[in-house]
Amino acid sequence: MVRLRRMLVGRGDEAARLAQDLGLAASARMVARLMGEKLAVDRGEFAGWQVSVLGAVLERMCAYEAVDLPAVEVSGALETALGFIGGMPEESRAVLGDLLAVFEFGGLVLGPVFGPRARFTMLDVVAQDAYLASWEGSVLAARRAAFRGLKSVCMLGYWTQTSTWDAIGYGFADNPGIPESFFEKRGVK
Amino acid sequence: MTILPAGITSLLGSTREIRVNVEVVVVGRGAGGGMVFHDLALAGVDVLGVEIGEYIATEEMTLREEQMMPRLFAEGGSRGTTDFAINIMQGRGVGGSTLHNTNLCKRLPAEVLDEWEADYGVEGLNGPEFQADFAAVEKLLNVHCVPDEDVNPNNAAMARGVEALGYRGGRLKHNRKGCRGSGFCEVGCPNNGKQNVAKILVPPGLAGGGRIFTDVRIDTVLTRGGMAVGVRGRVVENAVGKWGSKDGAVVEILAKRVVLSGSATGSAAIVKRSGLSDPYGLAGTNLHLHPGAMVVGVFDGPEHAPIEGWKGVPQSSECTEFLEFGPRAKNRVWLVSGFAHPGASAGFLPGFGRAHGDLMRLYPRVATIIAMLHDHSAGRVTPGRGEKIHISYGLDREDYAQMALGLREAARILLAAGATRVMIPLSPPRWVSTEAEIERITVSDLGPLSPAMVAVHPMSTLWMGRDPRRSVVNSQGEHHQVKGLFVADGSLFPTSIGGPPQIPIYTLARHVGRSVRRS
Repeated sequence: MVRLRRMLVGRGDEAARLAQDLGLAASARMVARLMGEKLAVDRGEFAGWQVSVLGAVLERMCAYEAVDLPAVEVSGALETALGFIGGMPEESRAVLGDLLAVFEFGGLVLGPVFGPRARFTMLDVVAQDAYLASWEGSVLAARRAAFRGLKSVCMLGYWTQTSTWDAIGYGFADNPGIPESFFEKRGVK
Repeated sequence: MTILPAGITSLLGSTREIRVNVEVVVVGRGAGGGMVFHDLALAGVDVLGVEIGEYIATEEMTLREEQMMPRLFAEGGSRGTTDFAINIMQGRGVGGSTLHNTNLCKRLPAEVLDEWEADYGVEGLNGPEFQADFAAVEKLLNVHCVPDEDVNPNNAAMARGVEALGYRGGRLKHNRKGCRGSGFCEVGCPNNGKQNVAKILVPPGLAGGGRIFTDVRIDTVLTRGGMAVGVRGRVVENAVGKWGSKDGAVVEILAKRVVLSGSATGSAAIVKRSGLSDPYGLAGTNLHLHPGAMVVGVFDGPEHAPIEGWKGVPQSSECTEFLEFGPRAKNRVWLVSGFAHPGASAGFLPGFGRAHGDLMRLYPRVATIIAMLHDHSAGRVTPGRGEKIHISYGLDREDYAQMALGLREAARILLAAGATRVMIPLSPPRWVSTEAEIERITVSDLGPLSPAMVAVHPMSTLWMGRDPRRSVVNSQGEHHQVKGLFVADGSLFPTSIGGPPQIPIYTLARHVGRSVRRS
């Protein structure tokens, strides 16, 4: 029992292995198929529904509801996040793809102990935020790690959009360290 | 389309098998590989350098994180430990990590060299000759103390706090020339201001007759009769933003000597994948990382001007009050300033949604200190598929205690500098603004992902030593079991070194390069 607790709470890599041993990711993929969702032939690729899950996660991660910040759906953040994922090795993309499957179908696989009894993309925003918060603050290191991985990709996708920079005072124009040739080449200032 | 310098060939798009015969093949174009390549080419050796990444000209540095991270960082910037607890940022491209590093320069501490000699039998490094090598490398790379005018507000805040507390610390040394303080070191310098491999070592190496192949992933060392005879790998498609990057043609390079300079993770992965003789099961073990956690101080009082830490030279201040070396070191934390651009910073700040947005609005008003461990914990590297490398690493309790010390002292320095509150990156994050709150940060608060950590200095996986039962290569960098196979990167360090590794790697590579020539 002590060993199981240590595995779940104290040692991230063992917890991740435990989750794999439980076949959670595989189960989530199986449920996806049972629900009529196709998986990409190559595990390093994302099926359309996985892209939708990423989009839904991104929308809640960056739901800033601020007039000086763009809404996710018009920001280009999802395309940028996907581009960033595309530069990762196939194994890493496969892990992310599995993560998205667990996010979307995890509650359906393991029941209310794990998450809501519905697909993530079918939840209302309050339930989605609660689910995300439960992963961020989970006692399971593996779930916190999974949240952190998804969040990194989402935040890189969103906050690299130039349309977000005015709100945080960031930019290139008033930086004397950037040479004029940089702006001339790009026809911008 | 980049026009490559004469002598550099991109193999991207090659469909036919490529076979080349050379005297020496050097795998990896980072600090170590760059120095070996430079020295051997200038000595008239027929040397071929091989690099998994691209050649990226200064004009191609777009300053956009999402565009440059996939090109400048291994695994597209996604490399990390198998439990995802520590992001590991390593370079790729002609220049390796010297393309994106922040140019910090330090020699190996005397206590570290003493320990290597006493405990590992490393010979030839603990004397005036090696110090002369350090001096020569520092002169070559224009190493100098960062001048006053280049200290930006982020670093000035740290310096102010260190001074107020009476802690030991000061100004760092850098290898820069032509720097204009853009602050984009980690995303690619737009001014060609780094005195790095691409600028200082590659051009003369090419002029001396050396050649470089890019876009090639070396997978294995070829051996015959216990002797290294070359390397084999595949052309890769460095498809930035494009999915489904596939391996291309086979590349086979036959050579009289093989030098691995693919970093402590890359070189170790090649050795493991090659199935080289390893009777004591050492290769790929002993991994040290210098894991670091970023502590954030908010300076939003009316007396504070915006800090805008993304501008200016990123890292010019340090605190060494809690950094000791040697096997009996009591404190092993290096505190150094740091900053990240918004895409990376946003991933680091806690929360999401509106609460996260409120934190992001503080971005121009924060100063940050990295608490970096001179770690004793040791991990392991195993090769994955393609560029993927599996890295197992976890801190032991003593290292967690050191990290707790680092977090407390970083917070103390920021508050002494005038921060109104400080965020400690635990899980959940903790805000502190009083001494009592700082004192409540203890080792029991720490564990996997608490704090969130990043590592940029993997080392020690193919380490030097006299005894083949306790080391992988000898004091000249040659593999104990495989003749003609040399290592010239951070894998060589028997222990963590507690500071920036680039000058030690450049200098050790020069030492190994001499051995290659003598052999």
